[in-house]
Amino acid sequence: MKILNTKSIMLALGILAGPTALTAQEATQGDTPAVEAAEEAPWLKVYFASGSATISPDQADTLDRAVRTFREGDPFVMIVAGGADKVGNPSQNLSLSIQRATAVATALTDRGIPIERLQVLGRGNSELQVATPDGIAEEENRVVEISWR
Amino acid sequence: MKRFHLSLCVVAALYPAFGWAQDNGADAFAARDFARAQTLWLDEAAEGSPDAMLGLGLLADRGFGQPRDIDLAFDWYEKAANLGLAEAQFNIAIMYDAGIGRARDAGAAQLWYTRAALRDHTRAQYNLGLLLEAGDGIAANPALAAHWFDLAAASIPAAAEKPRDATVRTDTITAPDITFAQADRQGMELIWDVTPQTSSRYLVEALRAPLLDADYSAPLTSQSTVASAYLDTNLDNALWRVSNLSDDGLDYAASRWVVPQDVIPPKGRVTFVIDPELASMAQAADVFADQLRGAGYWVRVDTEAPEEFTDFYISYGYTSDQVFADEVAQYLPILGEFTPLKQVVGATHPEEIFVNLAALR
Repeated sequence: MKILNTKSIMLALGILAGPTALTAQEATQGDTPAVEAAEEAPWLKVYFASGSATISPDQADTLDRAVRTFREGDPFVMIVAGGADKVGNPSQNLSLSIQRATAVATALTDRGIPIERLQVLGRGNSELQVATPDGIAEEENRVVEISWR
Repeated sequence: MKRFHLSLCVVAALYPAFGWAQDNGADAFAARDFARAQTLWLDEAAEGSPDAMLGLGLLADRGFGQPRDIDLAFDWYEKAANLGLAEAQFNIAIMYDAGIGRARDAGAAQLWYTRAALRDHTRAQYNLGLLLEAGDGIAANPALAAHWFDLAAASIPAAAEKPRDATVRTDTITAPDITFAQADRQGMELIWDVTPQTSSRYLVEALRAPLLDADYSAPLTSQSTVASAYLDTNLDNALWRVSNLSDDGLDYAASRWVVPQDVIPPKGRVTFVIDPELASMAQAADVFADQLRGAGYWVRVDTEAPEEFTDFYISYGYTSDQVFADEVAQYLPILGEFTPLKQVVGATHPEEIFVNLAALR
């Protein structure tokens, strides 16, 4: 009985505190601004044309930006994660996302990022930036996300 | 029993040498023991180790073994950077360039990238090139960007691929504004502002003051460069300045002198050339030397003129020094109505003239 009471009290308190807690959660999950000055859970995006793993020249600025934000030292890690939209089958898209991530990783090492600081990942069609049905071309999903810590 | 104790003592003495203990911060860090790394690094930093200061900065930056603290990281980086550690200087530059934990400051980023770039830090050279190429908060300067890309090209492929724009020829020269000057036992470091509209040639001079009334000697360094900075680890007790040279080498615009404590820079340098056979000429030269030294000039008396000067009375290398040559000509009570002055390009240092008394006969 006592336990139930404690539980219901806690539940009641939880409901009262509810909206604030929910808001706090939304703030951390939904709110991902591009490279914030003060905070550092940063990321940058490199966009790709449909079916392509070639980095177009207009994406070079993003790569330059990455190398001008990444400090030097053993603990720093740069993560390059590739994705693909849902045009084509998931298996092809997984390969494509890996190729894209590799292309970006190469471009970063070409700009001086030490290779031993890099992690490279292909997300394929898992964890799309924007949920779409099969077969839909969506530029926001044809990205390589560069993040670091 | 005694032998046993002795052996133990020997082993104990050798203990550190065996590397069983992680007795420095770097080892502890490599073993991922961040608490111990911090403890050891704090001791080492207190003894003045820049690497330890950098390490403490990295711990704070990533929040390893402690809450993440960007300001503390910056402070530690700065201590190491001020001691000349390129990696720390680079990290400081990044934090200014990307506005991490502070407002973005492109000028400070340029300064710290430059300090690291001078120490052959290739990422700093490349990033500095990017900053100058983009003119991102500082004056864009493609020629200077190309210089840094050139240096970084061996290690950084993207630098090698950057286009090499032809340097824009210009007749404008501007006295460089020295933005950073440090001189200590480690050497000397000079960084100056480079205005894109001026000539991209610079001459760095380092001199050592002559003792009392001695002749002045050749410069310790007289180095031409297109960069905006110079570092020499072998010069102490020298005075430095940098001059912007015109493209044709005819003229210069000098920065202020950077001087060690209690040293007064020269108003100018005068070399007298005499015929050693003529005692009166030698005496006259000595008198002139005394008077000029009293007025703040450095003087040297030589017995042989360089070939370019043998036919002329007073020679100067740079157009701006004609005034100086004229003043000295007025002061020398030798000739009648005219005094042949001659500009011999590239033959003197800035603010230096030759007086060839031996040519008078």
